[in-house]
Amino acid sequence: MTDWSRASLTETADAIAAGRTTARDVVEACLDRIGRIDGTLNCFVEVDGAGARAAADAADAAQRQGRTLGPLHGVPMAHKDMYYRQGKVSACGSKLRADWRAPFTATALQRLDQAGALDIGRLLMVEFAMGPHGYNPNYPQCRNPWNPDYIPSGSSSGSGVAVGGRLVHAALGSDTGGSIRCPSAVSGVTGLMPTYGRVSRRGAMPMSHSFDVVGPLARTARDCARVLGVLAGADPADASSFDMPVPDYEAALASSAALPTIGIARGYFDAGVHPDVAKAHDQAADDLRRAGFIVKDVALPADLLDEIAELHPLVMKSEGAANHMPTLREQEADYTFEVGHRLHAGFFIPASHYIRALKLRGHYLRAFAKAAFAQADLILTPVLAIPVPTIAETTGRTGKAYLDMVVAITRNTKVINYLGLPAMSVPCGFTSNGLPTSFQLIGRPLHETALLRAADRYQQVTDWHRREPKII
Amino acid sequence: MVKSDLVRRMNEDYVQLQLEAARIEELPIELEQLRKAMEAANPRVDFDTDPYDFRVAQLELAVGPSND
Repeated sequence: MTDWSRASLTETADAIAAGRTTARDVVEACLDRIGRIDGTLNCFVEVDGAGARAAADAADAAQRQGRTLGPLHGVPMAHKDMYYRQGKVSACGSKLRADWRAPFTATALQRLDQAGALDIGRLLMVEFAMGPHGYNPNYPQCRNPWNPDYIPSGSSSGSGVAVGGRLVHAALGSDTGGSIRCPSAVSGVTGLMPTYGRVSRRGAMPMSHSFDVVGPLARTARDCARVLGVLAGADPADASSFDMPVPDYEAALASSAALPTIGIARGYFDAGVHPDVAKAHDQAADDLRRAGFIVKDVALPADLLDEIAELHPLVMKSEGAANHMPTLREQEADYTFEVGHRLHAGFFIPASHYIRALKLRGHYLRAFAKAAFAQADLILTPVLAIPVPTIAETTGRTGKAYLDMVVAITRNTKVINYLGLPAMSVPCGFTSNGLPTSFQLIGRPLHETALLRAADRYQQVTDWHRREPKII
Repeated sequence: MVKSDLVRRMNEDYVQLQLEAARIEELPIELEQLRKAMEAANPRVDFDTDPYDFRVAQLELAVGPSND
């Protein structure tokens, strides 16, 4: 008998639609695993078991009545605890919002609801989405499903762990400097950060409005394609959203168009790559060639990317400090030490510097594109250049050591947020500590189809995305 | 050069933001990094460019070879 909680989102949704299983059975399998292992992983802040069962029964009833089913009909999902649902708590990983109830529902959740997805709980996140390690002192320690001594990475920590641990089929994360891609990479799942503006952020807690992107963490590229097809599109309530047609991302996976050329990034992204990571990525390049792609080295301007890497925190901290100014003044004791401290710098950045950093984004985007996309359609880099660190290696650091740790984790991801480009995290092996490693694919603005096609094709010739942690 | 004394004086202007003494010593390191980053990039800033040029660049680049 198939355990559908271990299948991909698309396989499960299609099985429900075909009557090979029911939403209730799938939900029960997920709730059973949550009950067995979330006491170790701590990726859920709240599980709504009764609500999930009732929603599953309603989904099954709708199917029996012959109603039109959405593409995610009956599939259990859960989301980073920063997506607002009217009348429900959205704590954003904080004490400040521990009991705060959202006055409206996020556009992303509305679209998932309309597509038939079930929302079975709230997932742990780093406090106010600030921190790449993935832990949050306000909650029990969230742990990596492959080894509980290792970080889950963040800030969408619970999203990566819940999908990797087979507790839900997909989850929303958000990405300001790597917060979809890094948790995906360390938990061995597939993550998609769409182009800045492709998915509405209305009702998603703001961290840095110039960089924040909403996207899915799921088990396969095909899963990401289906979820993006539901999420993408203009939203009159989000002025940053593109009013442009949304392709059929999943249908595009079968396109007969020429495969995108893949460029292995040389310069900036290949600095300091650990030998274990390099070995897995060399193998990934060979596997991509075997899958029919032209793969070649692409020289990128390291000095330009170094400048971008240093401007990213200038913008992020300015905007974060602006968001939190009133509460930091009045309730600083309610922030954790680390997050409160990270915000301080934003108060001392001159507005003129912040605005000049924003004025440069178009310049840097054109310069990067000229160097990268003139040579290849997609750029391939490691997500993390290092093996996944342990919790002990990243806990309790302050000052420069903390900043160095942040840089080590987000070096290859944050520059892409500044550029507003779409990127994916795709599992491609394991390092010698037994933890997953993943590559990042970067594409042109609004060219998610090319990313998804490449990742899907890669996953047809490899099985890294199918590997499961022992804990399940 | 950002020094701790400057941070202390600016902090006093933010009446209700209470930085710990240790943080006042630590912040200048971070602020100096950010200041240097902007100083290094300053020559690239075009007087006539506004921040919405970023969206223009996104749309320009969205038109590229289709592998869809």
